[in-house]
Amino acid sequence: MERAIVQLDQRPSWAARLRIAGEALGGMGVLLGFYFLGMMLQYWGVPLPGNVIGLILFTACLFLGVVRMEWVERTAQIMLRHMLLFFAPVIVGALAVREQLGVEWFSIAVGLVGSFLVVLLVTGWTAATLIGHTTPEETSSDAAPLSHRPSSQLFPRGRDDREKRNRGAS
Amino acid sequence: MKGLELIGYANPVFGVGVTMAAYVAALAVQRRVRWLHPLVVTCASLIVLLLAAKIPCESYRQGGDMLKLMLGPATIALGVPLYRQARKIKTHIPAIVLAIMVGSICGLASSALFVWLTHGSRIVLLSMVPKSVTTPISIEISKQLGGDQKFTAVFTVLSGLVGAVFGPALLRLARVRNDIAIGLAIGTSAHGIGTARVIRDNELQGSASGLAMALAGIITSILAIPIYWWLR
Repeated sequence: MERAIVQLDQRPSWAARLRIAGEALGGMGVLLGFYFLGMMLQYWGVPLPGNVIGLILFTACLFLGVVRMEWVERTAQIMLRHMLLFFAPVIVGALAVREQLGVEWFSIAVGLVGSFLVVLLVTGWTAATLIGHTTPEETSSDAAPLSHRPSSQLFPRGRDDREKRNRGAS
Repeated sequence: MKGLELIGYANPVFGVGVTMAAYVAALAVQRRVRWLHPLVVTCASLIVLLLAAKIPCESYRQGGDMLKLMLGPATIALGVPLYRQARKIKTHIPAIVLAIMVGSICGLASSALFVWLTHGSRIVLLSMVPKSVTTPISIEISKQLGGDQKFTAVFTVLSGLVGAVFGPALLRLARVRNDIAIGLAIGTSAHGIGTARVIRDNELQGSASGLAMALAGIITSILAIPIYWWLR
């Protein structure tokens, strides 16, 4: 995995590109397989959305070591980085219901902002009360030993940027 | 535009192509104007295009639905950050799960309460309920509850944007200084858009936020089961 990323930074050979594409396709197969499994279980009466069932099973398999990280890492990064491309059509679809959204704008605004504040503060305070009010030293040094150093020293620039963008899509 | 009508906007290629073009353009715009979220640019340009060329939403949907199909595997992919961050922040897992659970319950209850208090319609209320979790999960929960996916997608994205812009400052005001707590609060309330915001400044906040985004999605879908039974 590591080797493939470094090669990507220095213009990969065609063989390396093919291997990367192969890895990504294989990972896609794994993700689609879990999605399909989740949809089947939903159909058979599990009262959760199919994609969430798939996510739970997939995470369990990662922890159990049934699915190895190398198989899915690259595909997952691509899917998460570009997730907004996949739900942009749903938002554009709201064009069809814009009148109703307009009529109820006040209720929507109060609900959105009010509920956002509640979730943010309740989660923040609960976590701070349970974990401690300042960042615990052992966590940041023990569990993430590299986080104190600027990551630009650890990785070449391109890799670092890409890692950051990968993690949060939507 | 006559030619395009003959080929047919209803061809899925139109919806897929125009959305991908708008997305690539939005990424290019963001390279120049950093604060402009590509999601805003993508959707705004598509909406302007559809309105200006008088293309019916139904035709666009043919292609849009194909892209939407990819949300399934994208949700499964959330397992990767979940696994990775949970191993990184392993010391506080029970506390983290509890905090996210408390936050999610308050999110479900408060969104319903606020919409009910301001006399919102039933469909807006049901669509608002799952709005704190990541979009592919929130629209599925909304569908199960009997809400409207399009409403929920809009609400979810708006809370993400509000969270990304105001979340960190509000937490500072509320004197939450623990990086894990900040990350959890942002991830639970503003999902991926918030996560992308905090990951720029602080590694630990980003990890906690990514973990919270995936866990809140799972926990909220489970919490929605009783509501679903009660409504039925």
